[in-house]
Amino acid sequence: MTALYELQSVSKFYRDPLYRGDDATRIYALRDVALTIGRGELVAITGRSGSGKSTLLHLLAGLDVPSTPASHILLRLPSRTSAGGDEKATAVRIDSLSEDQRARLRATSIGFVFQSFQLLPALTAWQNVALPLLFVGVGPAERRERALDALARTDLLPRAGHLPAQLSGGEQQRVALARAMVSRPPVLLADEPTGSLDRESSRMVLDHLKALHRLYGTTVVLVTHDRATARLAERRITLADGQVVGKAR
Amino acid sequence: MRWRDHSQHVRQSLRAWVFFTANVVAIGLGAFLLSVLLALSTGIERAVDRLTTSQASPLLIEVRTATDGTGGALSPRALGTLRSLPGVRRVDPVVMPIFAELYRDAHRHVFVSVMSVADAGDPELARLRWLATAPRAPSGGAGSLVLPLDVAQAVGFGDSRKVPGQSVTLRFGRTRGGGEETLDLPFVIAGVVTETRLSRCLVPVGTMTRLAAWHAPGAGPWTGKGGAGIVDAAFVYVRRLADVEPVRRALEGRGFQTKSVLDSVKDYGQILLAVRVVLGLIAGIAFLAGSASIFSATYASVLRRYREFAVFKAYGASRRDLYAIVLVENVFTAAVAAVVGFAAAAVVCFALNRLATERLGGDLVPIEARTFLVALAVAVVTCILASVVPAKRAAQSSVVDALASTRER
Repeated sequence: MTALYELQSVSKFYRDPLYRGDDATRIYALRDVALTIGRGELVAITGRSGSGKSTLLHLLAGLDVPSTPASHILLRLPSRTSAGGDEKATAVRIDSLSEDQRARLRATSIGFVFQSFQLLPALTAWQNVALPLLFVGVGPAERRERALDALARTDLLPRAGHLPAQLSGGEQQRVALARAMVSRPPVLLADEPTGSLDRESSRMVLDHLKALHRLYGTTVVLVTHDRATARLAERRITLADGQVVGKAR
Repeated sequence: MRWRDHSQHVRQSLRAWVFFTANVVAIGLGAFLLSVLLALSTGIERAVDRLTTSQASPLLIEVRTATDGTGGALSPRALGTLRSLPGVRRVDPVVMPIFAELYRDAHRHVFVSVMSVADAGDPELARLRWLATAPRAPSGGAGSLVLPLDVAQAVGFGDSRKVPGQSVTLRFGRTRGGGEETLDLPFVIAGVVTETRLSRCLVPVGTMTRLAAWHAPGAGPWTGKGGAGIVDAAFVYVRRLADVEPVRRALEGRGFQTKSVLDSVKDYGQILLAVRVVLGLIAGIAFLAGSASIFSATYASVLRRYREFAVFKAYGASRRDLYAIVLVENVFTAAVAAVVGFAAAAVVCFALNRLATERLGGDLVPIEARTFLVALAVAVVTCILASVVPAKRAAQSSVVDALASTRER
């Protein structure tokens, strides 16, 4: 399987603001993490609270950057040649991109689902879904069309005109899922997507996540501390104290 | 849960409207003041222009002798000197004005000042704004009289178009041997004008010369024929505006006193500049206060919407995008504020103009498209300047920090 993400010596630490400059005061969220995620995989990252799961996901999304120059996060994005249709890969070192370049990368290639949905309360469901398209220059009509299509894929087309406050938690998370997938990114990163939901809503969200994974061949990286959710993944990576302590299929 | 979410949404919407309204009011107040002040400044400028052009032509130099503080009479020789100067186009002697009572009939009369005009070609007559004239030239006949509108109204003439051709009597008085003598002379009104210099009635110079000789017989050292010593001043017309200063210097070098409407223009210019500086300062303070309000409201709004900006960033918004979002929102606010402020100013100016038009003969505060464009531009620039720091703060929003604060909640 072709690698999509390659991580080498990835470390992230925070300094105690009272003791600047002293290496002994570093608080490591991740320490020398090395792992590979294959294209089209559905991977679950598990671990206890504070083990570094979310930090790892933020680094994969380019929402945060590693703390050490030795850290290396490579993303191989699939692309097609215009002539023969053969697939090629474009390698991007996320850790060396500027903030705006990382934002651009997220807009085109990385979908993100938050535990607490993060829908904008003043926008309707379809407007929330269309948000990522706004920043890549898609016109209003196409934005609306693609947003409605994404909502249809999560069975929420009848709720397209509703505000988030008018939707249940499960529906809000499905809207968030549609938003993450609206630009058909090759990677979908989900941070505890069922963490705020009841069992039934969780099952529906996970069913849609898997369906989208199968439909588009999207690589899904799922952070969860729920064993049942993790069991849905093809592979599990377990973190403890900022280090990878287990990889299991 | 749902009700709480919904009420939170309503609260957020209300808060956004309150912020928006507060900013519109703050900047709108600045736009209102600026519009009114610009209109007032334009109005003053035009009023000064009207005033100075109603006083005299800029090509006119009023000349008197410098024998004393009030000026003495001009001799025929002095008038000859004036005519000989290079750059001088025309010299009209002015017989000293005489006070009189103008009678329309026994019951309607008014106290007036009478002054001479040279002939039908007198530039002073050409400069006047005529409301109505008789078929003959205004100064053509010995008994012809030009009335300013306020004098015509004072003796009860209604429609100024019907005034030319009507008869009035001027009663002059003089002191003789301890007693008082009067002289009643009939005049036919040749024309009515909006205003004359010092609101005087105008009669031909020949008539005025005879009247002056009657009024002060034997006056002056120049005992020639017909009005020696009664030429109070002379109106010297130069060919071009550029000739005014050289001719004045030449006249003053020969001991004459000179006055020009350009002196008043210069004085009015300085007054206008002072008015503009003061008004500009007031508008500046208003906009400064407005920009402080915009700054604080926008900064508070950015902090309140920190999570929203972080979500934008998470889904691909660059720092420039976030910067632009804040700026565009405030430019929209500025545009709305400018429209509201200008509209309010237009209403106030309209009301002021209605009150002022009858008295001033023109708009006191003319409100124009140019004023709106200036108010809009200043409002937009103020809003942009006040938004720079909050926009920068929005651009620096961190998704990770925003998520952390969300979790804490």
